[in-house]
Amino acid sequence: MKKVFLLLLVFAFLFSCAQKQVTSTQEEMQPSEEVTLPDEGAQEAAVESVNLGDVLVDIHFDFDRYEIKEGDKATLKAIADVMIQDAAVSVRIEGHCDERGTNEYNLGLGDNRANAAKSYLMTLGVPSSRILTISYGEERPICTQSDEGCWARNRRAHFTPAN
Amino acid sequence: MKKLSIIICVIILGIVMLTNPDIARAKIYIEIDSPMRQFPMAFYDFAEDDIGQDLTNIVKDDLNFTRLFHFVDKDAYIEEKSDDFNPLNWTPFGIEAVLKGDITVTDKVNVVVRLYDVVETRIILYKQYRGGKEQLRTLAHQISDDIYEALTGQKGIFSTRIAFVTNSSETKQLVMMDFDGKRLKKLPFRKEMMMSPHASDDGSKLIVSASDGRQWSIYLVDLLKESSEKIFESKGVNIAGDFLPDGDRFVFTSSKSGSPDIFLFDISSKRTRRITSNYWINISPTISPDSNNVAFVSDKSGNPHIYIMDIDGYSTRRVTFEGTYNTQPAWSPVGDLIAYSGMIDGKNQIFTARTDGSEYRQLTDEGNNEDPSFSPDGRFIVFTSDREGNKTIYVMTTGGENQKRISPDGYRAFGPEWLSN
Repeated sequence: MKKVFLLLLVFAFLFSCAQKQVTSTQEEMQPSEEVTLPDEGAQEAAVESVNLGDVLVDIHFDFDRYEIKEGDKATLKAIADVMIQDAAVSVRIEGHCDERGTNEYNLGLGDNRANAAKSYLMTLGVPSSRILTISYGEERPICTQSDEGCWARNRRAHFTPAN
Repeated sequence: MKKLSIIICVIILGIVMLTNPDIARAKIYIEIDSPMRQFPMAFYDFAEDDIGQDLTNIVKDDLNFTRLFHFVDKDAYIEEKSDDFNPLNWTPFGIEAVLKGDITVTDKVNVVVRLYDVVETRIILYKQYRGGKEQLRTLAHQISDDIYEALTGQKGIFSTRIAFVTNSSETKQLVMMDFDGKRLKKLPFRKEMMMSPHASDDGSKLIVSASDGRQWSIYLVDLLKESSEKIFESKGVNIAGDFLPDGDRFVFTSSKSGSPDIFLFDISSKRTRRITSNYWINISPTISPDSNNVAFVSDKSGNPHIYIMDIDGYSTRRVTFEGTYNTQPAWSPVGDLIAYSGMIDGKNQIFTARTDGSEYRQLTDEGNNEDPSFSPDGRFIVFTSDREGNKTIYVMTTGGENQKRISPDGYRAFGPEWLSN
C-alpha cells in the first residue's frame, strides 16, 4: 500500500512538472491515468500527496538575514506535514542569496538560510536525516536584474525532493 | 614546471663589482615608504630593433608601475651609450642614476645591464642575463627586479603572478597571469562554481573551494605539476581560507557541524582543529604575517564585520565599526594593515584599516570593488571591479592611487590572489 502511495506521489509530482514543460511530454505521462486506487484510505492520502509539488515552494529572506519570516511558517508547516505523513519523502534545501553581498560571505549566509529552514522543519517533527542542505550563495540566481524585486526573489530557500 | 625551466634557462653569468668595494654595502636611493619625489634617472634603450624596443618597454613599464621613477627625456642625454660613464654629463640635469643596457641575439637573448650612481660616481649594478627568445618577458622582469632592488633595497614584484577565476562560460576556471596582466594561462581546474584561490607563501600551491552543484569541497592545486586533488570535504559549505607561512597548514571555513566556523587543517596529517565554535557565521580567515593571529568575518554584532583573534581562537576583538557590511579581509604581508570590502550606498568598496581599527580609508568609489589581495611587498592591492561592466581584475597602490585594469578588456574574472612568484 505504501508503495502505491509513493508511486502516486511520484507520478503526481512528475505530472505537475511535466505540465509546465512542452506539451509533447504529456503523452508520455498517459499511463498515470491507468493507476487504480486500491481503497479509500490510499485515495485520501493520494489527494494529500498530489500537493507535494505544490507545497515545495520557496521561502524568502530579508537582505543579510537568515531568520524565518512569520509569513513563511505556513509554507514550512505544509512541507513538514507531508514529510511526517510519508516517511519516504526527503527534501534538499538550497540556500540562495542576492548578488549584492560578497560571494564567500553569501555562501555562509545561504548555508545558514538552508539550515534555518531545516531547523524549523525539525522543530515541527521532521527527522534531520531526511533533510539535506546545500548553499549556492549568489551563484545560482533565478532573476538577474539589479533591482529590489529581483534581489528579493533570489534571497530564498528552495526545496526539491531528494529521493 | 615553467618556473623551474625559467630558473634554469635564465643563466646569470655573474655579478661583477667594479671600482668600488663599497658596492656590497647597499645604499638606499629611494625610500619607498616615504618617497619625496620620483627618482630621476636616464634609461637608454637596449637596442633600436624590435626585440630591443620590446625589452626596453617591458622594463620601463615595470618600473613605471611603481610610480617611483621618472625617466628623463632622451634629448637631455649628452653622453652616447657607448661612451664611458661620466657623472658630469648628468649632474647638471639632476639625474641621479643612469641605466645602460645592451641586447644581442644569437640562438639566445643576451643582455648586459649597467646601472650607475651619478652622485657617488660608481656602478651599482652590472649583470649579464641570457635566456631563450620566448622568455623575453621573464628576463625583462628579472632585470626590473634587479634595478628596483639596487635602488630601493627591497625586492621587486615584477616576476610575480596573480591567480584568479574566470567565468567566461557556464563553468569557472582557474587562471594565472603575470602581475601586469600579460601571459594569461588557464590551469586545468574547472568547476561549476568556484571561490577565490589562496596561495602558499612560496607560491607553489593554491587552495580553492569549488562545487559541482552537490557539495562544496576544498581542492589543493599544485602549480608546478599543474595537478589538483580534493583535500577536504564534509557536509555543509567548505571554503578555503589562507595558508600559514609553513605551507603545510591552512585555515578554512566549514559548516560541517552547524553554522560556518573556522578550522585549521594540517595537510601532512590531514588533521583538522577547530578554532571558532559558536552560533554565528565565522568565515573568510586570513593569517597575520607572524601566523599568530587570524582576521575573519563574523556576524555576531548582527551584521558582518571584521574581527581578529589569535590562532587558538581566543582574544577576539572587533576591527571594523563603520558601515553594516564588511567582508573579505586580507592581511598585508608586511604590516599591521588589513584590506577588506565594505558596503557603502549599496555598493562594495575596498577599504584599508590598521589592525587596531584605526586609520580606516576608502580606496575605491566607482562600481563594485571586491576581493582585495596584497602584492608580496604590501605596496599594491589587486582586486575585482565591475566599473567597466563585467567584473574583471584591477590593481592600485595600497594608498588607492593609480587604479587600472590589468586583465584583458571584457574578460570576465574575479577572486584575484597575488602570488609571491
